[in-house]
Amino acid sequence: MRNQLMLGLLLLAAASTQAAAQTTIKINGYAGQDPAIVGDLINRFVKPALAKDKINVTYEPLQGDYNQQLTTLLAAGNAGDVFYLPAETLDGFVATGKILPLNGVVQTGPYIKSLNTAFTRGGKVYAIAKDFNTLAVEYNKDLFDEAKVPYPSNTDTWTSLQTKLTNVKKALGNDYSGICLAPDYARMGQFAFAAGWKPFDSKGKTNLLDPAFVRAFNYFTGLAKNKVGIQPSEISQDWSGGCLGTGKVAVAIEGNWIVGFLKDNAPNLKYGSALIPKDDKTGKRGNFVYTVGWAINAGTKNKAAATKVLNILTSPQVQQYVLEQGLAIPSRTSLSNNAFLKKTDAGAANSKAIFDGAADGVVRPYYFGTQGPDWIKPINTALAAVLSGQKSSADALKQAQAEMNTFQNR
Amino acid sequence: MTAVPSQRFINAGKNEQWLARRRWARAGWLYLFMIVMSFFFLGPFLMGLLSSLKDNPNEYPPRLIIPQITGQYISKAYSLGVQGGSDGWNGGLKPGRSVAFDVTVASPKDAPQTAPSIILFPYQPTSLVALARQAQAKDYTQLKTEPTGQIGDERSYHVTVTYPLLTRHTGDVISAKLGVPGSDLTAILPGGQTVDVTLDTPEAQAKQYDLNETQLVELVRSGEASNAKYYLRGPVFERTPLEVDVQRGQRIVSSTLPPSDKQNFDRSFAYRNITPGVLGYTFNNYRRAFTETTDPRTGSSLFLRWVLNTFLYAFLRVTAAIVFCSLAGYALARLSFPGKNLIFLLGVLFVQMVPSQVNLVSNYVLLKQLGLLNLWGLWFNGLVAAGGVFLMKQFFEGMPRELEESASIDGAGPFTTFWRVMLPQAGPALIALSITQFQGAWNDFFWPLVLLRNQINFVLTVGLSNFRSAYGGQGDYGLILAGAVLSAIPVIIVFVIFQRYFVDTGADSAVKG
Repeated sequence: MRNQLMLGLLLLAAASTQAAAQTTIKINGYAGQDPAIVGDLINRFVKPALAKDKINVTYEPLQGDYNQQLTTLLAAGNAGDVFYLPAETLDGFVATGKILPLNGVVQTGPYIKSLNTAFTRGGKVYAIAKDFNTLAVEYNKDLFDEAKVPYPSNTDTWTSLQTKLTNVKKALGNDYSGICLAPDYARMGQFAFAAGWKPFDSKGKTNLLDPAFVRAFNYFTGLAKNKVGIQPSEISQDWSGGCLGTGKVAVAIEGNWIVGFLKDNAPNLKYGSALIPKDDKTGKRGNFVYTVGWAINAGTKNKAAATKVLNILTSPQVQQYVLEQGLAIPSRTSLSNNAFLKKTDAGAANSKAIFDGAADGVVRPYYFGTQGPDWIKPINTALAAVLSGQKSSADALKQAQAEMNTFQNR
Repeated sequence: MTAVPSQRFINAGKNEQWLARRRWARAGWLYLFMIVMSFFFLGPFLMGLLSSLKDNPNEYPPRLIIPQITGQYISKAYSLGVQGGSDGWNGGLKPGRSVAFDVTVASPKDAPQTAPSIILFPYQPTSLVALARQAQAKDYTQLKTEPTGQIGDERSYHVTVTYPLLTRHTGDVISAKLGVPGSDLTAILPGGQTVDVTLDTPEAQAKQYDLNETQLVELVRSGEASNAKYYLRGPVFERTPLEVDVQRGQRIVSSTLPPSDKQNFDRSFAYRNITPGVLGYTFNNYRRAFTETTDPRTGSSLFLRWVLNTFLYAFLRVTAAIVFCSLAGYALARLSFPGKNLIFLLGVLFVQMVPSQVNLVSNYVLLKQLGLLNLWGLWFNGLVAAGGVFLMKQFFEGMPRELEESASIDGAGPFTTFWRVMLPQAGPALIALSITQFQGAWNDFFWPLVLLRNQINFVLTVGLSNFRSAYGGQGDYGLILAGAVLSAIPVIIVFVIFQRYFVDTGADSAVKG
């Protein structure tokens, strides 16, 4: 009975698609601003190009925790034909076998190499970078002017930046701070990379007692000394971009996402961007590269159409449009000389610092290893404990390493 | 035995006083308790309501008296709205109008004596808006600053924003929206008619490629109705953002409206909109919730759609609960049939003990195969509320049997008894059921989140979580709070109206003797 019903429904469905002879490609991605952005791209670029092929494209945002939602949809067989795939959780999805390897399907040559690497496992490329972000030093020009301290620059080292921040704090007093420090591996790890720390050794284990990591950890938490650095929660904010927006904090280490936030919430803030400072000892910078890729569902019924859509969404025209609208940093190397990156307004200057950050020093993807996002928890706990003065750095790291061992032996 | 009452009579007067005091004390405690409780329950709502009116809802320390609820500034917002957009409620800046704004700056002797630098800046919040760039007032207007007087070291300046017309033609002025750009500009008139727009001045022609689809504009119609020509008078701006900067040592003393943002040690003031109108000033976030969450494909308001979806869902849930729960409840309470207790145990009690998350996967797969991943699937999933059946069963069991007996003497069958005699008596229970079901449907988040995929199908709760995801978790709190307050209002209204029906039933007076 049920089979008959299903058969009937299937026939009906088949008949209706035949009548329209239209393929629909469904895209899953983030909620928030993305529906407007991707909707705009679909209307502007994808639909005109695919109108003659009778391919219709819809965007369905996933609310809440994206990775969780995408896992559910993939398991239910209901995920989009094309979807966002965050590089940091790639392994889990690859293991399900639901991601189509793109070797031979899409040309990966034109994209920045480190971004392709972030999406490659065992010689197979699973996604094409949609865009990317790195970290940069964002500073409030007014505060540095008032304190008569030179702005952070691309030649700064750890110590010279720390001196500048201390001087700003000294000159401006209690109501102002040098830097906002979120207790988050995503804002501290770049210093450890610069010092020469590798997140995973050859056996896939993490060593938080590595002298390089300890040095970076102590530098980051040491910035909080004498209230030069504060945590966002101390001034009723939930991230360091919010701190910068209040006009009471001189520096925040954030990515390109801060530009839109400041434009809306602190429109008259004058800010600048500089590269992450170099480690005095190694003379190198470190940075994270955060990237989200376009992937194709291995179970799609319309592989050819999905590939076409993916190729349009990563085409030079789309990436140039996205860059010039100030939405994201393109993943194609050919756009590095785009006129937009040479403009002098704060947003464009920020894009330039972010773009350059990807190719300067030790740049690693924001990546949790094969065991998923819980990997960063011991590090974040240690950062929070030390920043709030509950533990000494040595104690906190010792406990973090113990927790990390338990986690990695699970 | 007798001694005690006599003692009591002697102290009667004192006792009276003491009892009266006790009564008052009890009333006092009760009121205090109720005030404290209502503070706890209503406090967050009122604080959210207040914060939703602010430019920066996250401000710390939070202020209780804000300009948005101060009569003086509301009336100024109204008059600025009239100046800019000839509409004191909606404000805006329309072609051909000019706006006056006053700023006073204190320049002590040792400070620079220069005039403040005053500019217009582009401002269009990005979150959740269809991305079409709206025209910015700064590209179309002229700004003039003139000193108007000096008292002590405080100088006043009069800022005039003038918006010249882009056409030399005169005629009927029509509001319209720009259509899909082609080789020429086209506009969609209020009637839905699409017309070509003529740009007759060099100033207008210079802007041809800056104007995007969905931009609101004013046109001038000239000529006969059959072959009328439409000339661009200019785009209509929702906001006129102004920034005032002074030098070190100077201080901004006052301005027509208080600033929305202060930077640079209070030497830089930004006014996100100097032509707000009352809605744009006090209820800015509420207006944004409706106007800035538009579906890019159709241009209709998503928030409105979510509100309607939620009402539809709540209505469907309540209707289904009233029909099915009262029928099932009555059957379980009064009819006798084999397996009744088993049905009650399994279908009502056991179902309530199983958390809904347990059914998640099976129900989801079932609904997916039925093609019901939408509002109707959501309704189907919660069609019969086990809790509601239980409530109705208990209620019908409490009704006197005599009612049914007299009905059956008059020749009524089970359905007629139910429909004509029992159900009309069940008003309070049905209202209690309706309120809980309405509230449950209105606040339902888990299943809508799982089932609804397309933005236009969302209910409010899922839509509000959409507001939160802007900036990768750094929410636009003004919008979130405005949306949350709007979504709380219907539940409060329903409760306030219907709570008195909770109390009484006429059934106890139906049985004599």
